Amino acid sequence: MAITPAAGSPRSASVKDVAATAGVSLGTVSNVLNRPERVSRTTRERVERAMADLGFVRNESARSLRTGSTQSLAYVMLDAGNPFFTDVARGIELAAEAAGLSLFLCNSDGRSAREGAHLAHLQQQRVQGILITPVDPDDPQIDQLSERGTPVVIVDRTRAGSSFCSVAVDDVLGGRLAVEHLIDAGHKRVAYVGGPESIGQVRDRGEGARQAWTEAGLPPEDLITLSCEAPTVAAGRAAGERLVGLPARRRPTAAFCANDLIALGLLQQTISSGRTVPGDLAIVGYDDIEFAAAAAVPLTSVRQPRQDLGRRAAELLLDEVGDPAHQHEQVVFTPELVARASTLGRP
Amino acid sequence: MAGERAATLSDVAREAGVSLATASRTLNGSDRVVRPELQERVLAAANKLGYTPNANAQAMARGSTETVGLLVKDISDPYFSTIAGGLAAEAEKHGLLVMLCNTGGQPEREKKFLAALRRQRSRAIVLAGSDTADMGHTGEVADLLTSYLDGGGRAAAISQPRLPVDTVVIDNHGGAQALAERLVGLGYRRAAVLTGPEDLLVSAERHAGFSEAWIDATGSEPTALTDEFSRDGGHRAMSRLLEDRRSNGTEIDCVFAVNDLMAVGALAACREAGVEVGRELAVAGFDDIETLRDVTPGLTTVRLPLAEIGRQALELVLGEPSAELRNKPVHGEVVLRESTPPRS
Repeated sequence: MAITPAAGSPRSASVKDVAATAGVSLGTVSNVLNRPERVSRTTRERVERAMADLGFVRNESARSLRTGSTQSLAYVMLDAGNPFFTDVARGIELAAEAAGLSLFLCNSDGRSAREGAHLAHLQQQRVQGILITPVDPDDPQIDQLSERGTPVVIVDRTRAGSSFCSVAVDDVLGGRLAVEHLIDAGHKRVAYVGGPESIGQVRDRGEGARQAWTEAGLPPEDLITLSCEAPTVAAGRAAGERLVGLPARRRPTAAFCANDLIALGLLQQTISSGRTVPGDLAIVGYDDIEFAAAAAVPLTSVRQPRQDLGRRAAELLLDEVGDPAHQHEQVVFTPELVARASTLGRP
Repeated sequence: MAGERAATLSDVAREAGVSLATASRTLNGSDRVVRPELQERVLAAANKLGYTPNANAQAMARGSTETVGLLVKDISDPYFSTIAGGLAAEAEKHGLLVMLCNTGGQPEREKKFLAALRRQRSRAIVLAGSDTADMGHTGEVADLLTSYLDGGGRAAAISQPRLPVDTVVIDNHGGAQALAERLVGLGYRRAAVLTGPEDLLVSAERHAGFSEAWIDATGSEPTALTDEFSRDGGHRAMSRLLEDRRSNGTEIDCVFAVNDLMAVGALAACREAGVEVGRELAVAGFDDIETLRDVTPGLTTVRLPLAEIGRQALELVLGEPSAELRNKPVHGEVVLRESTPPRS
């Protein structure tokens, strides 16, 4: 007897439903979940197919069947060397610890294949839940995770019509704040120094920049976009060299960088080539990592409440893990501009 | 291909109608020669099933990807994230995933991670920055590691040789000593040291190496100021030093912060107090963190080959096990920059 879940309530499928649909015993379903090596391949596949068809949520049954599961969460991040992500991780950690769970950190390093390998492994290890800042938010593997019973929360991205929780910062607003600040300071030629366009955050911040520029009635050709290979300090230095190479007429008097690492690299290159900040070039970064305030010329930046982001994401995940009636939420935080010497000059 | 189990060597052998040994010799190479017609069957079967050796290794590990657990004290400290990067790059070549475990220097977290990694049957564990003078905790970690090793796991540490595993030993003492000698050579005579908590071995060793060398060379003992092993800690400690200098006229010409993060905090404190680093007061750090290379003036420091250290630690756990515990020493290199100009 096949049981179809009511629309909008994918959590109605239970272990019994799976057993009935697959035509096996409860014990077999339990083995598939906890001791798959004891089940024949054909039977296992039949049970797994039934689970997928029913939208069966693995963790729910796991609470009743599983003993001694790995009491941990995992955060799959884009770049463990970027303080933005480690700050977010800190927020997640605090919430995880309060719930008595360990937190594993996995670095996708911006690569889909690596990310996929981590997700597959974490699923096999049956972590309680996964937080992820995905390489590609539309990757179907993320949906699969959720369908197969591992709760997932997306951090720093939102996805339209999402079937999971997400926590993000309004990056378009952030881009606007940055460029409005530069326009207020009188700049009429600005460069947006972005990372690769494939990164959603880069696109959104650029979009905000363009909106602010257009609304101020400034000529579109005076907001130029430079694309960096990667959102890193080295790429920022390289961007600095390219800016200098522009003819004086076209050279911007200010730069809005897609993140603080790029901004720091740009700052390094500008100062070491004998020019001044903000005199020759005003610079705005994004994220407001600790090093922003510590830079040679303290960096104006757009602050993302990184720890809050992480903590809220973890709270949503823990809620989903513990509550079958959990409703998904898309949470958006508002960034704020922190103005410092790199645009204001020294008092 | 989604959802299909990766083909194993057994699958290929079955498909080709040959023994496992024959399939292995054909695909993995061997001294024994395989008849050409059998080779062809094996290759055709491998091709048909999409067999790859890496997939086989994975499938052999109960169909799960192998991992190495890396425990670090603080992943937001570029010192640890650089080591992690070096280790991860090497792990990738071996088809291993890295599970990063941030202990925050907390013994309870460290123990939980070790227990979890063991349950997960992680192939190897590397501990970086576990160093604490707390012998009780060290003992507990040693016990957990021993049972993990008895179960077939491999482990190594990056730190001081206190645990019953192969260790990449960072010569913090020697690096700080070399720095002190170079600074004295530049003409500095009265030093202060900004240190972290004394029960943090990394900090204590650098402090000791610097102070001992300074006393040997100048006869005077550096003043010590203790705070957190962080940027804020360096800021506070330097602020106290500057205050002392202002009110008591204490003569200090050179400040050594036991890590670059503290040094950056110290530089900020100087900037705020209107003290010109380099000209009025020299400042040096330790680690040579890349993100901090934008500071002006450039910070004198001791460079450690951090990525290489991560790589070496992984080599220790993946290579041939040794009957005797191995200690691989790694030395730092003094890098002089504008924050410590020659003193006239």
